[in-house]
Amino acid sequence: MNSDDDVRRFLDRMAAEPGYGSVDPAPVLARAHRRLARTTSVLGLAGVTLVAAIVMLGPNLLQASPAPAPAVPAAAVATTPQVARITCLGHGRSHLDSTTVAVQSDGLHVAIIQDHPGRRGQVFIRRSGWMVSVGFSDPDHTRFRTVPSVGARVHHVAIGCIDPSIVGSSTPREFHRLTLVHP
Amino acid sequence: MTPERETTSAAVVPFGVSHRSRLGEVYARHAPEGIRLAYLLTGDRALAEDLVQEAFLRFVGRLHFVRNPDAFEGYLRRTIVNLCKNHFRHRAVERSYLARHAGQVVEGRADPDVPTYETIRAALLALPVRQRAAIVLRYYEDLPEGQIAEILGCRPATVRSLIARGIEALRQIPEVLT
Repeated sequence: MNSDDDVRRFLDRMAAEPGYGSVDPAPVLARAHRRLARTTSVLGLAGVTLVAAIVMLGPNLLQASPAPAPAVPAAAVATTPQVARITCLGHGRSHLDSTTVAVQSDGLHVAIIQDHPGRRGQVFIRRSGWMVSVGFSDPDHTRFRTVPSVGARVHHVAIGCIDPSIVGSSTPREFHRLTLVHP
Repeated sequence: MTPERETTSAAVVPFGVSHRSRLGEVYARHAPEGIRLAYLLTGDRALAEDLVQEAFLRFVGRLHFVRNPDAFEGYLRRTIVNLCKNHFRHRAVERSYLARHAGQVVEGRADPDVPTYETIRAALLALPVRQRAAIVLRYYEDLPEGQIAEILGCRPATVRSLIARGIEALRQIPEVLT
């Protein structure tokens, strides 16, 4: 084993160790064809199943998929074609107000719903860089307000709640961004 | 590779005509050679036969994707080596296998030549499978380093290293050195 020839001689001798008779290919061929048939049938079955699933479920999936919506900021809490309802969670002393916004032909219809009787909160809409005060929640009833449409079909608005009793730059505000589409 | 083994060109069998009989002919022609290679890599004849059969089954399954039927010998050799590597992949399997073979070395030392042969045999089978495959492909199959690297999926420099370390390990055995 000191030379390459020693290694070769050893390997040749070891390779000749088991006596090999003639090899009968028939059983191996039969096994190969069985495996081939099994693979083909499994793949075929899977393909047929896939095609059937696409044919049966495809139209439903296409109908169920929503229309591509315009890009909405990450903080969006609601995206709906025409109507959105948000709830301001409030910060500190501000309270909770629910606001429902609906897009109609004449503009945004805003309903400020009083969730906490006896307290007041301001609801406003920021649109195209301008903030529009919708009004204060009334201690006693729900208030409706219409913000005129400016001709846009898609409204990217931010609706916020604020507690007017807190005044100053550090006044806690809460914005909910959403996208509304004209009917 | 021993001189009496058939060359690749002599073993070329056109596929497509009388498919089944041609496949049988290819298997009958190449199987003994494949079994010898697998036996050198495993030291177990039954396992070697299983591996060669499995390699052939895989070849038949991929027959439609084989662009060059002349390359069957290379394909068979590569598949056998890969199957051996897979077989020894789990260290526990390899360890128990080596322990079993190491136990066989002690037996049957009547012939003065047997101890050396058996010791070398055990030492070869005790090598890591990649080193063993590199040595077998280099010294038994007479393949160039580039082709061995292709089969083992490594660089030629790695093949040189594997062979050198394997041979060095074989030379560590006292009986081998004498």
